[in-house]
Amino acid sequence: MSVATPSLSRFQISLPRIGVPSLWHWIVFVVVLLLVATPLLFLVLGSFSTARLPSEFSLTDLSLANYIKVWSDPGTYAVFTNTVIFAVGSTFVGLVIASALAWLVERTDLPFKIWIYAGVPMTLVMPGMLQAMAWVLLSSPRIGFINVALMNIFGLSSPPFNIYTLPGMIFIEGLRAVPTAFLMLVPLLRSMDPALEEAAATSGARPWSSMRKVTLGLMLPGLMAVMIYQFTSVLEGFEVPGILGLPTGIYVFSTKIYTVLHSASALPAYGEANALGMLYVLIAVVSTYLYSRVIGKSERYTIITGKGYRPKLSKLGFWRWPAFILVLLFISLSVIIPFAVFAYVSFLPFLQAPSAKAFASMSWDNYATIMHTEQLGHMLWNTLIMTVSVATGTVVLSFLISLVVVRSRFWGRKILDQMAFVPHAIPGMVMGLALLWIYLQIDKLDIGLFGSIWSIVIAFIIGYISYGTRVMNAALLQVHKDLEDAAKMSGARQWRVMWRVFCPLLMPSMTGIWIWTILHVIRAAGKPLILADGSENEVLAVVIWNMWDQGYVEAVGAIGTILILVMLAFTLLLRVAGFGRSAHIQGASGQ
Amino acid sequence: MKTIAQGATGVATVRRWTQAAALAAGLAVCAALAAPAAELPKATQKMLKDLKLDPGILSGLDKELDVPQAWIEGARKEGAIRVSATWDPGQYRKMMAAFEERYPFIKHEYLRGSRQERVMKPLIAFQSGRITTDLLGGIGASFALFKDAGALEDMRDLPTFNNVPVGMRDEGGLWVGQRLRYWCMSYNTNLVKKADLPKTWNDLLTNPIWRNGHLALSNRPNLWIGNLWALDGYGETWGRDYIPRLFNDVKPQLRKEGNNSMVALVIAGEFLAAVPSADYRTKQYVEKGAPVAWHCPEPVPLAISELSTIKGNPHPFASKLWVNWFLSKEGQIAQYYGDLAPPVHKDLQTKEFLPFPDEIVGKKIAFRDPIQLERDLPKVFDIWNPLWERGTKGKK
Repeated sequence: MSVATPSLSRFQISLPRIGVPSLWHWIVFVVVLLLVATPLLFLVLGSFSTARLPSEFSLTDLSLANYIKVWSDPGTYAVFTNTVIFAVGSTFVGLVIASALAWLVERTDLPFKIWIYAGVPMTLVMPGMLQAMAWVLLSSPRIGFINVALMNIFGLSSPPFNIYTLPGMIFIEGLRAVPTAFLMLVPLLRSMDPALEEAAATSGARPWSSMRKVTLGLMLPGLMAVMIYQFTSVLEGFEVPGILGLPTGIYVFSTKIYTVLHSASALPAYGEANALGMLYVLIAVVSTYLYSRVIGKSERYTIITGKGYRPKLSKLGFWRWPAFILVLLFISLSVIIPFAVFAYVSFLPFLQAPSAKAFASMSWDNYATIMHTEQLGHMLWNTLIMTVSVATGTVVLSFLISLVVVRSRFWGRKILDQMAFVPHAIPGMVMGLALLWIYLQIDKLDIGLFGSIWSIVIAFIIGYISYGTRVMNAALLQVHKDLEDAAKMSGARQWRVMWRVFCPLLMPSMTGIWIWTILHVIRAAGKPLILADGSENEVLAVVIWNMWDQGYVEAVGAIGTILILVMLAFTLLLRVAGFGRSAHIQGASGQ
Repeated sequence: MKTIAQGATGVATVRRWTQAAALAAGLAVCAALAAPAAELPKATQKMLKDLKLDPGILSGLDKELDVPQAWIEGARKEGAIRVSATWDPGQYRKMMAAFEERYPFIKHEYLRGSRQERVMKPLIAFQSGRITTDLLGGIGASFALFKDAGALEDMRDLPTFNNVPVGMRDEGGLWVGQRLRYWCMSYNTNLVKKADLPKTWNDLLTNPIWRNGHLALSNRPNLWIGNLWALDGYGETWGRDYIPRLFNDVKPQLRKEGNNSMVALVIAGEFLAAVPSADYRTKQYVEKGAPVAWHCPEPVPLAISELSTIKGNPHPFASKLWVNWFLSKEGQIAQYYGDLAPPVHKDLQTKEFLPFPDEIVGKKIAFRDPIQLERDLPKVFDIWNPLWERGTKGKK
């Protein structure tokens, strides 16, 4: 009697093989190509343009003048040096802290982990400008609360801290880099099969030794991905260098571009800004190349297998509570203390140091001002539409891109991966400017994209798929092909494999991307400022920025305080839901 | 024949009628003088009361607001207006209360933003065939670009256009001054003694208390240096000496924050004083009890903010009504009521509408003529910009 294999026959007849490019691979590729290449094209053309304004662009006005001006300026090299030091230092600080936090939260018996997991990402809610300003209030040489207190207590003749320095910038940016790196590292640790660590423990290795030689080794591709991403994030960041560096003339590329675009004494030099922006593209290409080299060796780092498992927690023993205190110190420096500063400021009629007089002057006036802000409801609705659309769109598009990149043999998958990463290296303002140009051209077709909330949604999705795909790529790398093959062998169609195999396993990563995107998009001001065109697409970040620009620090403190409290509740709720679902999945796996 | 009594009665009657007629005439005169108050919107009446102004200050308002009926009907059909300017939204709302009472059929959309989104973006959009705002305030040095693009409407047909003095409006009608702006310095009253305040701008260079970061500058030399440069006795020679000494000897903090934010930092004590600072914003903090005041070394830099109408905008009649009302006495006082900006109206440039009259009245004024500005500003920036970009020299 022959053994029929009807399921295999049916698979061969009805389902495209994963190695054969299907239509949806092409659709994803073309969509990303349009989303990324078109702004890049305008960025490149603009860098050669000598027109005064983008709307005056002409192919006959192209030259190397912008590049000559930028690269013949000695100041550009100082900017480059500052930028490298700033980016490397901040990345190092952020990654070290984030790695330690992620390991403590996911792989040890640290107490109150759920609160720590919710608290760490909370720093994402606070706009960078506000956070930097909070640290000015805390450690400015003249008025910083910490400096003044220490000088009074210890009788110091000069302030011990000066936040207006490159180390000060690195410290703050490093703290700001931790939440993103943390959210990228946690899924890696959570999904990692502890079998190798248990084998190391059985062989007598101490937890620290096991972590160094086994855990870190297995996490290396993920760590590399996080490091590359953080490095380019810091390069692109503007708020911290803007507040802390500009007053003392410490320029990095982002603030240099801002200065070129926002000179109050001259016309914005769009061409020069684009020429400087091209450097970011170059760095992104190099970074992406390095990243793809790491990904190319993915199978050696498979750590999610077809076996059921539950991550084992290392016991910290004596170090349990000291570790918790250190974590608390980090959260205090990153979140609690700056939040307290802004909560304090939000009740003041004007900025002043804490004193009995200051506390006596407190009132709810700033909150009342916010409530009476014109078009508050419209702005909040725009913000809600924007955040949900951007987060969901980023998750879906990142998932589809990563499937093509990691799980297919589509000929253009490496190009697709690089395209998805490149927007991250382009400063938000430069990308916004390129998209403004594109939208204005599209407007000539009466499509009406410019001025709508969707113009901002598209701009953000383009920027955030770089993060989404890094997380999704790293997560997909850890899903061994055995799981996929088993599903296909059982006759599952491709979409069913995505839904029943990948989605549940990747849910922690998807949730992480969704939350991270929500937290980032609410506070990002660069792209909305460029693309805002009135009440139809004015969002919270623009209102905060404008209030800040007008000097309403106290009202900004009030908005920031409300925003942080809302997002705290939001992330806690999501965290609980996420924990519940992943526990159910692990339980259902037959472990 | 009338009796004396009858005669007396008659005379008395005549006298009473005469008195009555005189009284009526007097009442009529008073009524005529008080006519604006009687017809004034409730918002205007409240405004006058809050500012303690006599309604007579609005004499002639009816004539100012006498516009063709076609404009009003056209605006009624349009039903909306978009304004992009530099008032705070709350200030704009307060300012527009009277306008909204007079023209309730015009719905406002107001945008306040950075120079990039308030000025450059509408220009870029215009050149791409799209109009994103009807009225543009604070057009500043970008006027030339708008003019080259043919983006501005001639406003000389407005009855109130000539309320603005010559030199504070474009003779081609393409822009008009919307308010006066005196740009001086705000200072922390807990940290600075009045005796240390500079009597002239040159004193900033010589008094050591302003050195090494105690004075903060924003990147807006066009608001004060540009004015002084254009003044007799100053000029290019003065500028070429003053500006480098300001950066190299004084070593000020160079701040990227807006001028208004810098006043908040002055109050916090981050620096002793900030230049340039606007009177209206400082006054708002003074009224909250903040330890800040405003001081003007001589000569006092005076600028105007320019207002323009975008050509071809979809609300041309609403735009006419808006600008015409804004340049009227009622509109100008409403602006002062909203944000303490001194009016540009030729009849209202008085000390009643100065937040800090003692700092201005009696001092030499350095007014920034736009034509002179266009000529001199590039030279100012040629000296200023490299110094700004490099920061202060000799810094560790």
